[in-house]
Amino acid sequence: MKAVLVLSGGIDSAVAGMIAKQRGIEMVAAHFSLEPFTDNSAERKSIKIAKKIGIKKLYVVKHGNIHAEIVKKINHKYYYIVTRRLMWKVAEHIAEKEKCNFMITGENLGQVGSQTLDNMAVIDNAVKIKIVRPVLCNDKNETIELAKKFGTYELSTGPEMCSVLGPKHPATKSTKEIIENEEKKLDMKKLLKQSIDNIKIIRLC
Amino acid sequence: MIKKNIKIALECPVRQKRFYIRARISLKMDFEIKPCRTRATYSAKPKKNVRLDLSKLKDSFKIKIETPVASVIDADGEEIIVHKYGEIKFKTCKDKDKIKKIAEEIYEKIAK
Repeated sequence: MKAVLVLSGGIDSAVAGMIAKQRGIEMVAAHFSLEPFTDNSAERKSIKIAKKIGIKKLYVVKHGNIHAEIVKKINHKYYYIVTRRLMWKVAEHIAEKEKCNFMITGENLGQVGSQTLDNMAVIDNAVKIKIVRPVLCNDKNETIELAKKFGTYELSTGPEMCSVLGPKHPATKSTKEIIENEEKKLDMKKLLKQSIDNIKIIRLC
Repeated sequence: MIKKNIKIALECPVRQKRFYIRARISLKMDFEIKPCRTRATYSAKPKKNVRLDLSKLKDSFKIKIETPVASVIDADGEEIIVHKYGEIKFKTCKDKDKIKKIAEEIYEKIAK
């Protein structure tokens, strides 16, 4: 079994990766960098976490300019949903290239306003690949305890510049129709191609 | 500086009636400089709610990337992220005096 792990550099995705590793799943990782709206600290953290998990290949997708393009055209409250759908499509492309059976994310139900069941269903709808979420129903403290146990906590909590593009009040209840209408304001095929063209592969020892 | 429209009530001695004059005054922006939550960068944050007119940035600064929510600019050799709700993030600058000077300049030029 092989999977692509979407690695943000935070606590949850690192723990998701460690749980998958314990199950003997082979992985490559994908990190979406929001530079120039952040610095490269999240990317540096992702490299360290990927090494800790034992991942040998990290795909870094420079996505800042693409998120800027999205923010300019859509209703801002749907920002997280539209950007995530695009990120999942890129991850699906990586999975196909790497012959992965599924993808793994650190999503956690209700942890942030955008990660509701409705929104996750709409996000999943963008891709055909199966998604496994090992920390979906964890309490945050539970995930923190696991991170400490796995030795990823210190790596995940290091300095990181937060992105500023997200809305103050993201939509918590979206539908496929609403989001597809928002996506009509964008050239999604072009954005997907740009994302794929912006991939940098880092080989980790 | 923040520019504000105000209305002043005056009594007219001739007609014995109250009338109003409108004026535009400038107030100094009150902001604080502190490290962000993870201590990765310094940011300037206004103490009161404020909106910035990001479209005015191009008149005074070199724009690297522009969106309706936030823009990345180059000011005095520093890469800075300016958010429409007033937060200014400094990617690499740790010099508080320089941060204060740049933040004051940005607020003076683009605060609504």
